[in-house]
Amino acid sequence: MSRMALVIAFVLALIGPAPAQKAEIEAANAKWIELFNRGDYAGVASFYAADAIALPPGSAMVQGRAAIEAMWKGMAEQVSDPKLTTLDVKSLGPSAAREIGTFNLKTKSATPQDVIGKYVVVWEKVGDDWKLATDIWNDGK
Amino acid sequence: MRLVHTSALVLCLITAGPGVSFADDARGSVEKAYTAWDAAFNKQDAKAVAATYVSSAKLMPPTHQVASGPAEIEKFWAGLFANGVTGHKLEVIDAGGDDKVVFGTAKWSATGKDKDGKPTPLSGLAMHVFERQADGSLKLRLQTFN
Repeated sequence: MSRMALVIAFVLALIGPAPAQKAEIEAANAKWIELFNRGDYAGVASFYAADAIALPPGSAMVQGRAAIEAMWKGMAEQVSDPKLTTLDVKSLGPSAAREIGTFNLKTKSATPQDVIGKYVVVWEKVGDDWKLATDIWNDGK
Repeated sequence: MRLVHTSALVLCLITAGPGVSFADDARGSVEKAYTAWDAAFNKQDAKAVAATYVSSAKLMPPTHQVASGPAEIEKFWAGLFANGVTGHKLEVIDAGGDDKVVFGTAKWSATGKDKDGKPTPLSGLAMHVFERQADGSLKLRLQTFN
């Protein structure tokens, strides 16, 4: 009987919500910021799934790592010092999660301005790593 | 006894594993939900739009604060109707999910009014997270757009 309980516990552990998801996603975000600030946009793009879609405001959608790398490289010419704050992570199963967060950054204009916004990311677990599958953001807190 | 173990394992996988048939139909379900949402919007019926959200839903519109729950969400859409936004259309870009949670990304378009009251096209990108209901239909848990 105890073996049966173990089997059930094991299966539930595989398919149930992972409490570590938020910590792992926050760690991925910290690394993402580090790479962005270093100007390593290929590294930034490597955090996205191969078929990921980014949905930036006021622009066409951007699909795939190469296009996403180019998008962030272009973005870095206009903004700097991004900061991400994870507000909520909801498990969408053992290998997917939805994150809601806010971001702060500064424009690179002659008079730098603070920009505050909010975002939603759907993350997918690919192997041992969390990858951004869908990334959308807009202005305002 | 081994049969009991195997049955327990199979039961666990059936009851808690991903619903393949639903997952396969995520795109169809999202298209249906988008059509119903657009229909409610285009009747300018904020109550009907709000009825497409679960009680714990969040709406994250650009340049506005987050609206939580159907009452706040209804108020947000009613404000848009008062400003003359019509002709809303959602077109699926991508969809996925399982028997409990389904997500979709979309292009949205509508017609607004400029400062002189003339019709002006609006468009952008959107993401939706739905919770599947007992009858298989979808209700919105989260919506954001830009």
